[in-house]
Amino acid sequence: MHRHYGRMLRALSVGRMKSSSCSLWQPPVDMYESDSELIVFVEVAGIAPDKIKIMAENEMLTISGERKCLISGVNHVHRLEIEYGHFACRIPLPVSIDVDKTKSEINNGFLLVRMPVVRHQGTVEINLK
Amino acid sequence: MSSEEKIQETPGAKEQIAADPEKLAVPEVLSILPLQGFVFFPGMGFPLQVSHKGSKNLIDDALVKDRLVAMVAHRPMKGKQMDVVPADHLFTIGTMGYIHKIMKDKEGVYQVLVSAVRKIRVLEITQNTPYHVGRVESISMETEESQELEAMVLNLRTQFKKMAELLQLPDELTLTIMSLQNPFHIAYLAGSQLNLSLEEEQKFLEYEKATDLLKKVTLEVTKKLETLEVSQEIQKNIKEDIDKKQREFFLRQQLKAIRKELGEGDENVDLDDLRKKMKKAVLPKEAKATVEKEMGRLARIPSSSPEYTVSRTFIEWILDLPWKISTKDSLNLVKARQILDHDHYGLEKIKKRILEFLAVRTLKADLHGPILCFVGPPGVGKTSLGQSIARTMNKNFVRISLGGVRDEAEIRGHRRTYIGSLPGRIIQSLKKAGSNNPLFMLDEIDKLGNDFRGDPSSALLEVLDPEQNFTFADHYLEIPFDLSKVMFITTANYIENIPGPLRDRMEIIELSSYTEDEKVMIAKRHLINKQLEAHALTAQKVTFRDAAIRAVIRSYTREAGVRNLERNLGGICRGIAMDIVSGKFKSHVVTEKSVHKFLGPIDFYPEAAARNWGPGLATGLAWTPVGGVLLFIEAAKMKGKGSLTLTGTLGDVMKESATAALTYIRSHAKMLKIDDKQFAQEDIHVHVPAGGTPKDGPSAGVAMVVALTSLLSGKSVRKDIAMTGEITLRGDVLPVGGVKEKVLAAVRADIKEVFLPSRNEKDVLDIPASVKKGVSFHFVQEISEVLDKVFVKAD
Repeated sequence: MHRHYGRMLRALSVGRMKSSSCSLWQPPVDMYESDSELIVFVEVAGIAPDKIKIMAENEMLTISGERKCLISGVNHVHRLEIEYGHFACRIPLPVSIDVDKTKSEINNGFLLVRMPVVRHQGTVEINLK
Repeated sequence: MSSEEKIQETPGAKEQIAADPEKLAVPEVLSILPLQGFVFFPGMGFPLQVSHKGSKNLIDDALVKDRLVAMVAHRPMKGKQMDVVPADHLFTIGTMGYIHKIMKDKEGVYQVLVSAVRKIRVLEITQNTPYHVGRVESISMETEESQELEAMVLNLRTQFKKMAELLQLPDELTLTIMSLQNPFHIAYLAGSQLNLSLEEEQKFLEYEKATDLLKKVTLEVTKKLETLEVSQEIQKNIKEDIDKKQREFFLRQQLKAIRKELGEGDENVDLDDLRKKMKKAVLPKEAKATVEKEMGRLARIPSSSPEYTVSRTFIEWILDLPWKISTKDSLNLVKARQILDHDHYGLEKIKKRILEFLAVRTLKADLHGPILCFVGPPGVGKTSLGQSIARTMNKNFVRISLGGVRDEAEIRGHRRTYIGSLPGRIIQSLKKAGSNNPLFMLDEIDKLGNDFRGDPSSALLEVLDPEQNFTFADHYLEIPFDLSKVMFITTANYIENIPGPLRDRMEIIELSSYTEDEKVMIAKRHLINKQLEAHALTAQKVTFRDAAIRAVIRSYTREAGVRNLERNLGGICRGIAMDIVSGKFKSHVVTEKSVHKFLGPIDFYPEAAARNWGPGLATGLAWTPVGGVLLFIEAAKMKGKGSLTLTGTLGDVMKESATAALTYIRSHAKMLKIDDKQFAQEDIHVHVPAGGTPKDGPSAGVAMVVALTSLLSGKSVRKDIAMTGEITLRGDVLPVGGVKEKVLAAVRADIKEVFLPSRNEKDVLDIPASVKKGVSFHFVQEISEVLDKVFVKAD
């Protein structure tokens, strides 16, 4: 019984296998879209703002950082649910954004990234010189 | 990427906990968490349930330190569950795990989320309680990029994808395999999906070279893939089969419902009957299998279809045949002799053969049935003899007449593909006989036809060969039937007309013509009683004198058998019946005189007596299927140029025989004292009456020579002499056939002396002495011996 239990858990946890594009843990991310912007929330509680690095490309948002465990000098751990250490996640963007006008702020433990959406309308004629 | 750089910027002992676990260095000493029944592959992360006390301690201690544990699988422990896994049960290769999360429930079970970050080797166990602690070293999972490795990874990915599709593994898994970079990770993930034994999984972990690991995992994946493909194929087949059956069942139910609506009722009664019959029938294995198969088929055919009848008839045929039904042969020799004697007068040769067979049969139970062939003229009782043999041996009797049968299908049946096809006559008759060892009579085997439609005699070859007929396969049945117990008797009039190979298979028994005495006996014993009965007369009212019977035989019949005799006796009985009814008399004794009264003028006179005798006439003897006859050769000469005319519907052989006779005389003219001038000045005519009957054969040669010599020398031939024999130009007399019949004809015609070829002497021995009485036989080698004696002595 025990023996099968271990195997079963192993089989159920395939998703945790690390692929090269992600780190071992990732903070939860929400993404919204309005008429003009793409809004991304990342839960970054306990992470020093200077440790967070955001890079926006045309169709990809990369967020990385590090959460440090601040506890020391304990002699028993009863519960451990918060992930620590380095993280890096690459979030593909569903629409094109204007990289230059991207803004970010940290508010109550959430990292908020606002990215204006660039919508191309019609075709552009290119004149040959 | 940039984050990785950052780690290196801030190294430190305390920092390590918070650093990327991937990059954690392996400490020299680690506490060892035993894993039961599975291997924790590097790169994987999943929750463990820890309930064992020692292990819980281990986790607690690790959590406050560096959160690192060594995870090593252990071999299964036989027998009692022990508290602590003995150190020697642990494998040496394992992984280093990093604890991410932990939850403790009320029962005290730890849910520990661990990811395996490194592969390690346990060098030495340094502590056993409360948990194992050991010195460890890291095993590198670095790979050098090479084309081979790349190809192997690609191959494994492809194979795995196929397998995942067949196994219907989550898509996520395939995606993960595709996105993983480290060949070790790919192989470990693929390997963990194969459901292999602990030992095999542990082996994966122990490979140090990525290529070796990939090879092994790919092999296992391929193996699994093949197994899956085969089992899928099997499943598909089973499913198809089931689908088909279900469909059929459904349609059948529908059909039943429709039938019910139409009021056609259930046809199963019919089938039930057949099934009952099948259960009762004793069948050989092969026939049983065929019937069962056909029954299955029949059940699926609607009763209105023509196929239904075909199939049903076939089953009935098989069930009706006496595959294993035998009658018990009566083996009482004394009784057999009595029956045979009672039914038939004479025929000693055949009776002896039957009794011999019965005697051997008594000694040996599994004797093949003999295959006899009765050859003889019509009316000598061949067919009735068959019946009486059957009665003697207590066998069932069946008879088919082969006269005019010209299609081999009559013997072997038609294939079932033809509508209205039936088994051949052999199988049909066996069904009629109702046993597998009847006496089977094949009448008139010499009158088998044979044309483009087939050759029935060839089909009979198999039936009549004891070495083959135990597996006689009818075209219709297509199951071999054992004919070896059947006693075959065939009859024929002319042995020459039976095809050679067929003749060869049978034991020929010749029945020759009856002699006059035999005919008298047969008439007295059988025919008269039969005719009296047929005309409601009794032996008290009517008695036949022997002389009367002889008169009927001599003056009103000319035959080998007794059919005409019986008919004429019937004629007499009719006349007597007429007289009794009209009140002329109440009883009657039939005398020679009253025979003439009832039968009218004499039909046959003694042949020789009826002739105008003189030179140029000689009496030959001929054989016909109805017995022997006298054959008169007439010769006449007239003015001419020496030509020879032959008339009387003579065949080529007989014409040549006449020419040979003349040549012999011309070449021996001097010796015969014949004036050879005649040959140039006179024409010779040879005629053989009666002109309407075709004649052929060489046996009249002697008579020709005698007739011509008589003509040319002017001497008459004795009237009471008859002769037969073939001649050569040198004057030798060659033997001929049918001697018994010829002699009987001579006796009937009151001939006193008969000239026969010396080599036919043996045939005369067969003739009963009573017949030979009053006739003298001359056996000659040369024609001159005949010429010496045949002429009327000039007195």
